[in-house]
Amino acid sequence: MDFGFTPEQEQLRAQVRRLLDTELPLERILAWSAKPQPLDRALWTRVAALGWPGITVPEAYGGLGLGCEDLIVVLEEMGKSLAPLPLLATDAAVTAIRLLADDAQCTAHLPGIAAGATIATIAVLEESDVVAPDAIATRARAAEGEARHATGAAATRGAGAAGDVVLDGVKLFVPDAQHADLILVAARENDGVSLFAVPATAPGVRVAPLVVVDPTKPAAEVRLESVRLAASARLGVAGGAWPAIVRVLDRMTIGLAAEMIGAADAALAMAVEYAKVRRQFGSPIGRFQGVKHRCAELLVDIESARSLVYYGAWAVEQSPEQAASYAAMAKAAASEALDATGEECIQIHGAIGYTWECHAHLFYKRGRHCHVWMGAPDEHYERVLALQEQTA
Amino acid sequence: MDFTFTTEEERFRADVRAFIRDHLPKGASGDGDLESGLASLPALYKWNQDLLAKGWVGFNWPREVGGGGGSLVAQMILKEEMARHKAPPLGLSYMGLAWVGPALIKYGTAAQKAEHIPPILRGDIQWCTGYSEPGAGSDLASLQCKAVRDGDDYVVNGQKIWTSLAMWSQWMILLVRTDPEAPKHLGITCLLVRIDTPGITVKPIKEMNGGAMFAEVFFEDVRVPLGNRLGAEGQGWDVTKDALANERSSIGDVWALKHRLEGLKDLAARCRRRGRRAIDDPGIRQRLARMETQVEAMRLNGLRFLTKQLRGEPLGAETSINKLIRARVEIESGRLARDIEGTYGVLAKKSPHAIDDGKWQRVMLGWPPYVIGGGTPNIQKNVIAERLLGLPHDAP
Repeated sequence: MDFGFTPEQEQLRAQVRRLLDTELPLERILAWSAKPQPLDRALWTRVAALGWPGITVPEAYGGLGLGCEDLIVVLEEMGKSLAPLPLLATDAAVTAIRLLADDAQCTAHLPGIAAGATIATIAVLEESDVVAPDAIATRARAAEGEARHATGAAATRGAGAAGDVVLDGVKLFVPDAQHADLILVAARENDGVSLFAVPATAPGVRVAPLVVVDPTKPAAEVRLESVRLAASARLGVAGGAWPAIVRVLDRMTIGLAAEMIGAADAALAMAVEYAKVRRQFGSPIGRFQGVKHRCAELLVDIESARSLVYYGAWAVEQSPEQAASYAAMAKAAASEALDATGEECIQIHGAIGYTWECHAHLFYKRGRHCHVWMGAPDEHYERVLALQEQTA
Repeated sequence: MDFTFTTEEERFRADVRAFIRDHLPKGASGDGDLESGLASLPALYKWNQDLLAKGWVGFNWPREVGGGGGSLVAQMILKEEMARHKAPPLGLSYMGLAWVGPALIKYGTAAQKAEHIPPILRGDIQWCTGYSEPGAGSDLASLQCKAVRDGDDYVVNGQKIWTSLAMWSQWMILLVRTDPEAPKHLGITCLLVRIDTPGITVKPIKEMNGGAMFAEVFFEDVRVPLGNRLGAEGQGWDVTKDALANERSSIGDVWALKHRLEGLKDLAARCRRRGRRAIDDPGIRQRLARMETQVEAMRLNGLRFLTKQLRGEPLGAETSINKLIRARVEIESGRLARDIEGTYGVLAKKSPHAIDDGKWQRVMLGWPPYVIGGGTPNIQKNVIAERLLGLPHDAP
């Protein structure tokens, strides 16, 4: 029985902390969120050299071969810094490839991801905002020898091979798609759902960035118009990808919740530090129970979410049958904790908390944004009971 | 992270389960709570003896005083299995085990240990705790009940209140002020007092649920031998504070709340609201799942704190986190049951048409001992804010 991290994991945490403190201080996040720029690929290459994007890529494919517990160590620290790095999306793609792909496909994709050369993401949701196989309207159909790639007004023609597929549809809320080189697209095929590895540069793919409440969580719409792919783009059997997609989403939900407890932790620390130094009525405001009790309640909420996230990260690999339920509980708890902490961080700062220069709004936006990203608490609470009723 | 147990620990768990199968008293208390435990005291006496033979009363106390000398992990397993199977408490001398024994082990003389620990382990003696006073509740250290030395005795005058189980107890662990001039935490002394000492009057207090578990206790020139002082004069605050910090894995509470939650789901499957089962009502489902999430968080928080202890780091105010969660869940469970029952939620025990004979109304009226006792939620928040977040102390 040991519910804590190993010395190696604590070293990893310290290393991540050092790099983020140097490279991505909140001042830089503030400047960046005023005018979001494309991802700093040089920084991504540097973190790749430290092993982050390849953290869960098997060693045979150039990664560190570590697990979800190690991943959330990095994600939690990234959350504290509100780092706009596409690690969560990348790990989701890595996981989907590991679960579904054959050796040739792994060899084609994983080493590039681990090296930082390829940024990858996964596209499941669509306009319906529903996570279910039936909700996926994007379709994959067999190519008819030749395909038209509709790119703008001009149509081009290309020769196709037997077994080629053509994708049509619109994916929405795709994390980090604007930086991605590789987009794993869920599409209906043979009365099921398949997952296709789509290069962002493939003819017919158009990525339109969304303007989001929290610019440190970039996302985009991905349009696929007659996108022709070789059969080798399909990961796993035709129509059989949904169970793997569900596992990827559960893992991603836990990863997102890990980022969120990191952010909540930093927001509470910021509020507490201010409450210690800001004086009113002749006393630090942190002496007043209206302030200190609120901080205490938030700590209870954050620590509780933290326990659920850590356990969920363990369950993903060591006890998969529990993963869905703990993903739901962890995300619900993390949503409530961060949403409230970001809000309280502004309130404890008073008027200054509402200024652009104060970092409080960065955490507030992260909280409001992530509360509903990958499912709001009410959806996750419903899932907790529904899962129990399924197994009963 | 590793949530598996060693072969030895698993063997211990199997041993506990076998023990429960063979020794659990028939018809004895349901969920290990204090009230039902006391109601069947005589029937539980053998349970205590059987536990004692295994070394499971005072499980983590040192062997030299008759305890089990058990490890933290084994203790967690023991409590978890007992609570999971709705076993009665791990020993009959409830306050003696929770408060008095740990203080005696750390501060008692050899004679005091020899006199008091064996009866606590056997369940022969009930203890109560003379801490709170009318003017000293959350601010316990401001207590005024005073003791003055006179020859070989202290002479105690004053009043205690909210003294749980006083009317069933033979002994009391009592905090008195021996030095009115000293800073408030340093002028306090701890005494061990026989309840039948002349000058002591116990007056039960009727509670909002109609029961009477606690009492007022009055002291009028009560003579307590000097030899009954626990620890040094002026050390009383430390003596009891250490006992407060002792043993806080909360795993037993977690399982009691898990049983409660199962009961609520079962209730929601039987009750109808607005033409459908309450369990199919989205609002009720949200509240059930949210409570489940909080109870799970409490369980896992406990495991994280246990890990800290196992790694040799001291545990401090973290335990207040679970105490606050427990308070939230205790209060919400009675309120949620009422809302599941709808208008039937007004029917109490013995009423015609009452659901489950008003069981959930007792829950709705029964949370204060668990929420107020040992420090109100507001006090827990002070503790968390000051000791975990480093915010300033709020007392002037």
